[in-house]
Amino acid sequence: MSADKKHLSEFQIALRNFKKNRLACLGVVILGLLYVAVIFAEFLSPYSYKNENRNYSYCPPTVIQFFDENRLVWPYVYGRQLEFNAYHGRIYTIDKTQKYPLRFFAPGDTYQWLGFLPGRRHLIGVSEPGRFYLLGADSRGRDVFSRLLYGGRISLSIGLIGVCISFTIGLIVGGVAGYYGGRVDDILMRICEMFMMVPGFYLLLALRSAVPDNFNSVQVYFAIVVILSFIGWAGLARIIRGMCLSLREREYVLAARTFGLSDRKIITGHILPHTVSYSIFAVMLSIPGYILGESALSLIGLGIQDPFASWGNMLSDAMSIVRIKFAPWILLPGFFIFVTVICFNVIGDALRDCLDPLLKSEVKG
Amino acid sequence: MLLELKNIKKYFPVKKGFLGRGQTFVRAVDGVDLAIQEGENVSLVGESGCGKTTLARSILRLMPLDGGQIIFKGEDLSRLSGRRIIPYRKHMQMVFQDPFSSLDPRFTVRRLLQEALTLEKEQYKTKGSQEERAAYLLSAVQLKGDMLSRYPHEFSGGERQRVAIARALMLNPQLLILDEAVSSLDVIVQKQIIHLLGDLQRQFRLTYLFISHNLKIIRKISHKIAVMYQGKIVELAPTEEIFNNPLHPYTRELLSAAVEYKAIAREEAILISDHSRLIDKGNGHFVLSE
Ligand SMILES: Nc1ncnc2c1ncn2[C@@H]1O[C@H](COP(=O)(O)OP(=O)(O)O)[C@@H](O)[C@H]1O
Ligand SMILES: [Mg+2]
Repeated sequence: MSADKKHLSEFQIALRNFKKNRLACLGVVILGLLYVAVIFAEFLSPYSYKNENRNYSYCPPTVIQFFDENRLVWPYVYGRQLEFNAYHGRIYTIDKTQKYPLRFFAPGDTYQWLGFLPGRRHLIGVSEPGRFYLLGADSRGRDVFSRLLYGGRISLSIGLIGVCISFTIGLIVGGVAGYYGGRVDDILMRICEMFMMVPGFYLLLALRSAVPDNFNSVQVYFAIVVILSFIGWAGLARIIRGMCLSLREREYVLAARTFGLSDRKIITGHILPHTVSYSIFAVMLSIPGYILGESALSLIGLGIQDPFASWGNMLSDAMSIVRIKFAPWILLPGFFIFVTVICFNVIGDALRDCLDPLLKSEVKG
Repeated sequence: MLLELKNIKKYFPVKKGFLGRGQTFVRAVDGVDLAIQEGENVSLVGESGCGKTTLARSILRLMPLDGGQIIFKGEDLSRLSGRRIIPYRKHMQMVFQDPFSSLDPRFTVRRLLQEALTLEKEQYKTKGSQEERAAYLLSAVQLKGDMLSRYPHEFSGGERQRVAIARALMLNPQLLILDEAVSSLDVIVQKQIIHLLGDLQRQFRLTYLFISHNLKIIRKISHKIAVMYQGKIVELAPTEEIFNNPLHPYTRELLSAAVEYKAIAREEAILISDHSRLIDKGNGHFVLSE
């Protein structure tokens, strides 16, 4: 088996070129960091997503101090003093008399890591009554940094799960339609077209309105995933079907039939693997759609509900220009959505570039 | 009798007109009769587009027939549907025309060969015995055993065609259909493969149905030649008889193209009417005429 290592299929050779694209590698690193960060959200965030303190509404980011009277000391943060100006606007001033040293592995809000591992240690934190807002606070005085991590977990996972579901449906439907052709193909493709005909966002709203409103947050989450995948599969199915129509004429498919391989084995073994070079970058390029879809739903209040965080519903705070002026950090979820979408697009494009020659030979023969 | 074809028909619809009105058909294979004895190689020759590939694929039931019977060792395969045909598949195997598309580029040679054993899972249960069988056939087609872990793109056309032959032999078939198996190769490699096929025939007691558009390269390997033209067999005779005494005008044309490398001008268009049938001229020589 060690001899196998030396020999690479054309697909593996093509994929090796991916590493030469610096930008795409950067994208992979950034996404990797984001995903690791949201997986460990409970631990990395100083507060729980619902830990609120109304006295700190829109509190600006806390600056970490390293020097005390020009001496390097253990990092600490100052307390904040809340005052109101003549127009009842909030003004936070730094209270230099209160110092709160940073604590690592600080005990804080209790949590269940990923829903099963209990704990209460947070990577970084300060003791009460000090508040540590690395990226500022939102309207209810919740830590934006913590909520970004929790919200990222929703937004980033919806993309992955959604894409998995719709690609499974798309591959199966496209594969079956393309391999069998004829009547089966006609029926499946008409169904696809029905989904593609309706503009995505309206379909999203229509499907969302069909979801009962007494759903709890987990149910809503899965409802959104299912809705988004429902919209996404049809386009892929059509393309896969087109590829399969041409792939099934390949002589290796005919050869496989002469050995008596079952249709299922032929589709999964000899046809769908050849659509991978397309699917792999189509997946990358379509994940942003799911992230944006969830954000759009949550932004207009139809998605993930407060106090649960998602990048979309965090942004709904930022729908007023006055607030953005007063507390620009509430736009940060938008920045993260932007970075994530760009990363997926860059990676998808790079994959397309290196798989393109293979794709041409696979589809056109 | 190993294989008997009776009145095989395969028509392809030509898309035409609105709502399928005025539907016409290409008669790719139009009433072919052919009998193949065990050990008696038959060659099917004819210009490209005359229906050779279609006939071969119909025999293997890779496409549904539009008429006729395929009788393999007394069993009528044309009546068997979907699943019931599968046990018969192992007796007839095929080497395809294009060695660059007949081997799945994602598979190593090992997987390609072992996959062909699907129908013989009982006999080759362990990985070891499958591996052994694959290595044995690789050596039979004169390829080195270390090629098992390579991918098809690392081979030349000739080597790929050898792999394809090895794969077709995995199930120990009785009839091997070679569809233009050497046409895409250069002359030297063609000769080597033809020679190899001769060896394999003795070793594995094979019968070949050899398909080609070139009369010259099949002379050595075939006992009988069937000349095909526009979906019909126009002449059927023992090999030397075809070369020495061609009766049908199309055969003569084909021969002059193959042997003298020039096309003779057609004196008149070769017309084939629907009523014509193969007439016995003695010595096992049949010609299509009215
Ligand atoms: N799948 C198909 N659909 C429609 N027409 C076909 C198809 N396959 C072959 N034909 C037609 O049938 C005829 C015979 O083709 P083929 O059997 O490939 O010839 P050959 O192998 O002798 O070159 C050709 O005219 C070709 O255009
Ligand atoms: Mg052909």
